[in-house]
Amino acid sequence: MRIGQLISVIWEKSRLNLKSEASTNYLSYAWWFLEPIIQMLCYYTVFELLLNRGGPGYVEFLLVGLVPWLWFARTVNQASNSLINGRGMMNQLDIPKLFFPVVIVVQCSVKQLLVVAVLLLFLVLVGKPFSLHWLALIPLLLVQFLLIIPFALVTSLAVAYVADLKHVIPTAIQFMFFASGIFFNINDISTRYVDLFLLNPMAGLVVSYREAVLNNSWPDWSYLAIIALCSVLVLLLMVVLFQRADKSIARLVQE
Amino acid sequence: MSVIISLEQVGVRYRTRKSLFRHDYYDALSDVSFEVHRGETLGIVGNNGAGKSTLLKVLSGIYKPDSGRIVSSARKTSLLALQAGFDPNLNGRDNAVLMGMLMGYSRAQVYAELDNIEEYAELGDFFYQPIKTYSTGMRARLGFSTTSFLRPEVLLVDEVLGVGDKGFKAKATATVQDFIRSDQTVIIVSHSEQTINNLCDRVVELEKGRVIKLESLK
Repeated sequence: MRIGQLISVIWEKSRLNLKSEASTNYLSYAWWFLEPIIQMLCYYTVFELLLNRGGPGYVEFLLVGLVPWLWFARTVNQASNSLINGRGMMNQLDIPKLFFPVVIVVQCSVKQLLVVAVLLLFLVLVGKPFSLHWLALIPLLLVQFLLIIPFALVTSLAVAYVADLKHVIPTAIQFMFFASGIFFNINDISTRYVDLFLLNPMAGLVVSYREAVLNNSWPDWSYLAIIALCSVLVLLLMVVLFQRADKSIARLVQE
Repeated sequence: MSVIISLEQVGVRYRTRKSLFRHDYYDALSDVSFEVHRGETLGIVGNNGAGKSTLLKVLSGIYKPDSGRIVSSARKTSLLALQAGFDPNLNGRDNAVLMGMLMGYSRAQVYAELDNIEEYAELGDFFYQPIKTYSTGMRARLGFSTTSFLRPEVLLVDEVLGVGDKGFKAKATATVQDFIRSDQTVIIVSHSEQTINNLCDRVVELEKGRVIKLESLK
């Protein structure tokens, strides 16, 4: 399959998946807004109104970390099983196997755009003024998108080869959650470990999101550039691996 | 006659896991060699477990042989009556589009055939209903209709296709016969030697993964 055809069929499938997902609910597309709104209200009620935890602005701090994190975690979790779930299709048609994980990434990313819009609306409602630095969200979202693709490809291929890994990946993601500074500030950990901490690209991205959205300053561009560059390199490597493994995958997942 | 697909000593070996480091092997195909000519109708017969399904997967490019090789100059080879890509929550039309695009056709090419596909499948308003409301026969009709209008260069026909009720079965059989009479390359798999004898130009007989007979019928 030519690359242009692959891209258009990935887009078509993602679009239709979103449509199909929406069609299972009475309120269909409204849930793309309702779900994040309800979640944010939950956090607001618990941390701001009930517990009054973490000092002023903690809910905003938490949500700006949590929203990008959930995009990453959900996508990688779903994508890791995508090749196994696609076995019915790939055993009837010769489909490039990249198709399966990339569709998941695209479909989760479209929904993420709406979640980010809801988040910004929420911030304005709780009294955070709009800032020009919010424009940094555009490169930030792009870099995170670039980062998620190789993660999705690596995990899906790994699970296709060693099915047992599907039990390990959710735990690994959970561990990464704690190591990404979602609910605590990276400045609170010992300075000796900060550099080590920032080796985790999600930790660095979360810091950057907070800089741009909450602290009215621009993110560390060179750090973002490094993440983007590494992601592209791993992505290219994975494309080669997927091509080499293409015909083995249909047989592997069938067992 | 020009050769469109040629198989050279193709072998496919399945590995069955016994425990962490122990495996058993099972040869689904071994040393299979034959050629498919452009425009002909080739039959493949054999009992259950003879390797017919595996051979179909090799021919459609889903499996790569573990030994030997397959050389194909066909741009598209596909099973007739796909069940692939069926998303139960999407309607018949969307599923047809997806299937067609996954077969390698552009969006525009598939859209151009949608009216024909809809009419042929005889699904009525169900064409716009989610597939989960379909009966098995209706799903098969949609799959058959989609692939037969898109017409891949080489069509693989599994004779045991359950294409719905009596009326539709007759129509589907007529369509397959039209393909056979035209310059379409068709490969038919069956355990019934009679079907093969009626329809095919040549026949390959498989037994335990090996070709035991290769003969011309016409």
